Amino acid sequence: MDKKILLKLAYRNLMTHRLRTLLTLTGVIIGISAIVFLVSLAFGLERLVSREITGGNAFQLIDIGTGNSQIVKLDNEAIQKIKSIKEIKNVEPSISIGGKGKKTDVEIDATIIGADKQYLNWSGFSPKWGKIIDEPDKAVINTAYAKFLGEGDPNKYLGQKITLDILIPKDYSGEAEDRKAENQEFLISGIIKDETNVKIYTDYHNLTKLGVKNYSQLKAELVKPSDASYARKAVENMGYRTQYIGDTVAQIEQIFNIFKIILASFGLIALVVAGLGLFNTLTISLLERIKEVALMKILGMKKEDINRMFMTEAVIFGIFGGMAGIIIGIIFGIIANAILNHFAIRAGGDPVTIFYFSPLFLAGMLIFSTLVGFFTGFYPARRAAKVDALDVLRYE
Amino acid sequence: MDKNQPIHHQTIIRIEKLHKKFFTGKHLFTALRDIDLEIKATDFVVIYGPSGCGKTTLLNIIAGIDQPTAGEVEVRDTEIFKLSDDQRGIFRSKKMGFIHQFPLWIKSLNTLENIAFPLLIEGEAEDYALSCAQNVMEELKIADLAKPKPTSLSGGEQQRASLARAIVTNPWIILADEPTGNLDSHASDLLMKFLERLNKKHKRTIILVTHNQDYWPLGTRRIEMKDGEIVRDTHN
Repeated sequence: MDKKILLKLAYRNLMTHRLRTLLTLTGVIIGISAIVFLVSLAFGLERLVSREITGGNAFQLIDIGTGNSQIVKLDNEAIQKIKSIKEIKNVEPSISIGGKGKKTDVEIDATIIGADKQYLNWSGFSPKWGKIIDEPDKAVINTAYAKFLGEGDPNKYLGQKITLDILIPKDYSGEAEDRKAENQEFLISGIIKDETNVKIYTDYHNLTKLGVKNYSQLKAELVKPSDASYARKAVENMGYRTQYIGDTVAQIEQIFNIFKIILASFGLIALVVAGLGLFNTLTISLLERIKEVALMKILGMKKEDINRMFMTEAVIFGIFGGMAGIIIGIIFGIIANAILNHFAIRAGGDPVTIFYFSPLFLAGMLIFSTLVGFFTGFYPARRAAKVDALDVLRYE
Repeated sequence: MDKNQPIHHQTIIRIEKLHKKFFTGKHLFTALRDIDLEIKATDFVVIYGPSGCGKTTLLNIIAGIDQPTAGEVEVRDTEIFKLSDDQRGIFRSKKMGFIHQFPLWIKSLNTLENIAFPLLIEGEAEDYALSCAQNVMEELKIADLAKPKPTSLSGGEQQRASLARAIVTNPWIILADEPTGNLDSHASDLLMKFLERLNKKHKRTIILVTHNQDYWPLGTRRIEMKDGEIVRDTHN
């Protein structure tokens, strides 16, 4: 029998009981939309976290440190050696040492970070007010330090002078004792939003001028991200420790995969209930139409075609339920995102996208929904194909 | 079968040593006993007899809907019970039309589509099937009943539509099981006239099961059954 006719027949059968069809379809839609909504939330959160970590061109960078080694040092010689690795394009250092920020007669402990513009750019560093360090005597402070300077809009501190006492540890200077460089003055060029510990960023040359010879960390830029494992091995062979954002992202992905499974399971419960509803509808539909099925057999319709007709009905539920469920899941996600952002903005935060609708996942959901229809229809369709026309006639 | 014979001498159905037994509850019931029967292509066979004598069982076996316990049924050189279920279904669809006492319908289709359905099963294009159905409906003077659902028609109209569905594939044989059992006399007469015309004008084999003695003279041959056996076979 022509497939178009089978499709038309299945459609007509469904339309004969519109309310029942609509209710059954609603069940599938709820199940699919619940999964789409919840898993897209997990996808969105994963992306948000990953992007937070992998700002800038993070996949092209490896972090290099000494671990706890007292033998290897991160100095200019190390930079040259690492730069000579062919998979590495560029290397930039950073220094992280302690110090004190001073305001008239008050002091505050601070972390002084020495890094140049390139290093900060690689770190996804972006001041909320002002600009990144572009001259040697400039510094960028965080909002935690701005609070120490005074209340009100942090913007007003741009261009102001700050005074720092910088502690030069002996490990960094190679000297016999730790030393303090007092009353170092800088002009605030930018302020970053960070309420945690007090941090002050300045060009690392300002610290090397004070006698710092060893760096806390290096960032090496790869020629291409796929070189990461070769480059890391080469650096580690020199005695250094490396960290690559790809490892962290892989760990995040693992955690979020579990999160997705948990959320999908909640949606799946709804889909299982919908599947049972669909199974029930198809079975009742068969019982109601048993005389029709007997008639079709008497008229010569093949078992295979009867099976296909019922399967088509089941798959129609799967496909349309899937499509509508995906659309409704997306709409609910967009609405939820808008509501959350509304509150986030009112609370002074930045708008974020916490729902991500992965096209691949959505396509997968459509296939999954179709398969739910297919497998749910399997038994009623087989039963329909096996109907004994004579039994039905005798009963009649 | 000698195909050079004139059509009225050609045997269309040959039944040999047909037995049918089935269980009714725990009791084995013999519905048909040792039936031998030859039906010619131009026969209008009227089968009658008391309830439970095996008329409907015989008709169902000829149509290939029911299986015999023993014996052979040959329709135009085809031993129908050597075919698979699906093959037998296709054979029935092409070569036989069936009219039941209570017509069965596909409720989601209108009358025209229901009548066209056997052709759609055969794989004909929808337009062609509907146009054939329309022609048959016009011939049976029920063209105005094309649009409504068949279940909304009167008993007589439903039976005429049922006849239209039975003949839309232009079959060799039309099997009718108590087609007037549920109709008033006017609707019954009309239906019988159509069956008679199909036999006389269109040379179709008609096998009619009926209790109504008024229609027995219509047949060219009368078969009386009792307790699963043919007790009388009269040619008019």
